[in-house]
Amino acid sequence: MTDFAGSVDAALFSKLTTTPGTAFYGTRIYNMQAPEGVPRPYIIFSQIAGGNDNLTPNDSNDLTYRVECVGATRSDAATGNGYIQQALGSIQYELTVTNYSNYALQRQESFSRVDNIGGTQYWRRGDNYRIRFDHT
Amino acid sequence: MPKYIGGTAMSILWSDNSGTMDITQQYTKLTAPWQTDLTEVSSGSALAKAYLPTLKDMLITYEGYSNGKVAPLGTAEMARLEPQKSGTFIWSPFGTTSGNPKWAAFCYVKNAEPDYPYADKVTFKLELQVSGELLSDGNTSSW
Repeated sequence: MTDFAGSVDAALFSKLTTTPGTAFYGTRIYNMQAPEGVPRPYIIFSQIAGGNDNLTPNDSNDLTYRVECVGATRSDAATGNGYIQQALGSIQYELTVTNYSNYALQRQESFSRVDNIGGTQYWRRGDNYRIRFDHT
Repeated sequence: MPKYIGGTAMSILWSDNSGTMDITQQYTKLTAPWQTDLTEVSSGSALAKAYLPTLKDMLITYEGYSNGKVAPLGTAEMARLEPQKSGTFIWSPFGTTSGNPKWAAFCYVKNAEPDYPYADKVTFKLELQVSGELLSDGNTSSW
């Protein structure tokens, strides 16, 4: 059985590790949660909504992913998020998933927040991305 | 009361001089209203209108997503579905397995309408004017 969600996760990881942003956050890109103690800045991404849209007989999927940069400073979070936007910013055909065409990748809602954990500030800035696939 | 989810086994084919192409995978909606003209035949003393059916007619509407390239439902297929072109439209709501209803009609393309919303899916709407009697009436004919 093909793990479609896992393939999309891998495609996102691949995209984010082949951009100028790697000079800034390296390969510290994690699905859902970063390991404890990992240096900042780092990227976390996760699917937060969506699935098969059931609009055609084709296996078409309409997903929403949240992708964010977690930095030690407000500025780092913003810079990292800029690289994410650059990596995922050209609307379509960005992600490579076997047997699927990524016909739309659109940045939508933005957010910023800061978490205080054990006296340490974790500055976070990111966007939700609507990612749509059609079976080829 | 039993219900029925449409389209999951649907087959939609267009057959013309270039062969038969399958336009099922990109479709989102298909309507095939079948109607008749009526002539009023009320007598002078009647208290209510009376009618007799005359000619039947059908205008099929197909809507789907175009991928903008050659196929599916791209330029290669849209080129065969331009206004004035003709062919046989065959639709089978339960698929083409033996025993399933088969609808078919000779049609002229009356309207071919791509729609390009900003940053959203390109849709393609097609109106097919049936000419003559149905070639296959799915209520009584099957594969």
